[in-house]
Amino acid sequence: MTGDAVSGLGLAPSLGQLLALRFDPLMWLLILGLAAAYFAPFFRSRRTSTTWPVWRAVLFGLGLVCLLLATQSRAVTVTQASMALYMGRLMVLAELVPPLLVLGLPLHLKLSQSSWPGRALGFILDPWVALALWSAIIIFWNVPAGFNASIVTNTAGALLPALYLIGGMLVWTVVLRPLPGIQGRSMGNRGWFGLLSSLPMMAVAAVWLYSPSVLYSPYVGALCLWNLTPLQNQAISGWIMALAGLPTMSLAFVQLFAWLIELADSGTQPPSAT
Amino acid sequence: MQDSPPITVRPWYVSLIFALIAVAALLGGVWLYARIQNPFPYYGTTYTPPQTAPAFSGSDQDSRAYTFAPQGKTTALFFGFTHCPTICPLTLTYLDKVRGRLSPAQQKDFQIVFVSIDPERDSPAQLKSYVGFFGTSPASKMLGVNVPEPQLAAVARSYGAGYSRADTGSKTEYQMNHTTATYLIDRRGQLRLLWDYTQLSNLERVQADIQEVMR
Amino acid sequence: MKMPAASARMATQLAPSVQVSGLYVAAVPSVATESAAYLTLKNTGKTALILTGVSSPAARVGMLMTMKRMGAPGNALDMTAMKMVTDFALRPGQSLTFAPSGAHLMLSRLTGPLSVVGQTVPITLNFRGGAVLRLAAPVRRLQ
Repeated sequence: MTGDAVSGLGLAPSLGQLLALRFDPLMWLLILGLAAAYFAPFFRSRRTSTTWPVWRAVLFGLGLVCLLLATQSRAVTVTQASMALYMGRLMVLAELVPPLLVLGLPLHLKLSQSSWPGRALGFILDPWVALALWSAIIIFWNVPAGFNASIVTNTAGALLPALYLIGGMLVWTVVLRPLPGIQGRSMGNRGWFGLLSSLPMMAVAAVWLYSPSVLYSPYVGALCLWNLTPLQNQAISGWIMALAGLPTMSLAFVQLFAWLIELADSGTQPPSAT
Repeated sequence: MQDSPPITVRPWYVSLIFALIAVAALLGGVWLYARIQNPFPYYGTTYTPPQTAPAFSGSDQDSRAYTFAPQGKTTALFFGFTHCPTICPLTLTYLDKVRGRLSPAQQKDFQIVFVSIDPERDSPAQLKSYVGFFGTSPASKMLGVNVPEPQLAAVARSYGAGYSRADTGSKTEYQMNHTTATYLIDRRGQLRLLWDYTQLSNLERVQADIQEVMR
Repeated sequence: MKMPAASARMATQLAPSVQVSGLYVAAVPSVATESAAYLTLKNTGKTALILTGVSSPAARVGMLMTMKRMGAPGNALDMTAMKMVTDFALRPGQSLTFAPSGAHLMLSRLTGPLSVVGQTVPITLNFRGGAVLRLAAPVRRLQ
């Protein structure tokens, strides 16, 4: 609302200009806190053993960098001028940061089902719960009233990226199952879950791709970056969302196949110990 | 691989109930978050905390000296120009309609101020015709204010409003690019919120914002 | 849209297959020199239509305009600008709405006041290929 928020970017900003960092103390504190919480035990563990692979730390670090860029770059200031860029940011938060962070978690994390955090996570990572929350986020905030508010008002402006991040974390944690101590679902279950959870996004993407008109009033007359029309922006956003949903969908198919093979094998082989 | 302890899997209906509870908690939580941010669900974008609305001076549509300062009236302030074919007429039309929805007592307490960002062409006479056309109530007159340059630039900047001449190759015929927000200032002179022009068509909620600020 | 065999046909016979709804011209103060026409066009034909111009005896200049904006309302210095475009394309079956908050048909350098509600203003729309649409637009206040 004050002078420092003036975007000052032209209508054709370069990637470098868009990725120039801003400084929102709370967000930086959160990200640095996460980094400290991860890398301190990582380095401690590396001194004595190699059970915590370096590649996991690299992925986690990459996840944090993506989180920083999606929330703390100048791209945040041009939301009103590019729906595609906004959607790109949201998709980084929902579909790129979460798998990186989840894959970054070491396998030796132990959470028992009876501990307090174990119970809380067991509740929220129940595939039904995660799927319902994720669908609610995608559907509710893509209905014009919800989406418009996220662009125009400050309150909702910070909320939607946060919800996409949380929703994405839930989905990817269920799909990748980093906490076997509390996540007891079979491959088939996770496959079905992945498939179902990718549907709401695909539906929204299809609507954007084929809608003949601009659905969100703040974008109807928007001066868009790179000389695009609002309608083109909406269609590109559809592509971005569809492409961002593909990894979840493909992984879901892989898991379903693995499950089918498991099913087929289970008839001929003795059950193996897990 | 080590053996993991057996995991109790919930029956599907328990999961389903959990899912419903979670969604209700999410939507309720978001609603609560919005309420804590703004106890009143303002439609416009609020200034938190409210800021003192910068004062400015110029001349009104009757060529009288005019100074905008906290005057005991709730004010909707808009920066525009009279050669504006769409957004300014639309904004003033909506603001006048909203004014018409207020109670007579509230209307007396409410004013619409149109500050020209094109002081060169927007003479008092020009402004008089313009605000006289869109302000349909004789009791609650719409004000048209001409602030000369270079003061205007400072006034606009102090509100976070921008404007620039759109070059069309002619010195007398040009359009202006400008910020299309309407600022709502309470009777103590505090900037409370702004509406984007795309929001104004929702008269009910704009009216509710004004009435809340008037309380 | 079939091309006529004889080029000497009247322009009106080259009427494009469009459906027009909600047509009006905004009433503006008598001192105003600009107004705009609003309507919804729907291409009911089988070929794409390209609107290339607007003219009216009520204005010396007619322009196809879009609204452009930059920056987020509330947290950046956002400005709205009008931008002239050379044409608007309408695929078969597509609708295009001209409204005060977006694309509009700008009437500039008005030849007379458009402050009286109830007046009628002739509006001519030109399409690529020579098709012409002649309309009579009522003058009314913005809603």
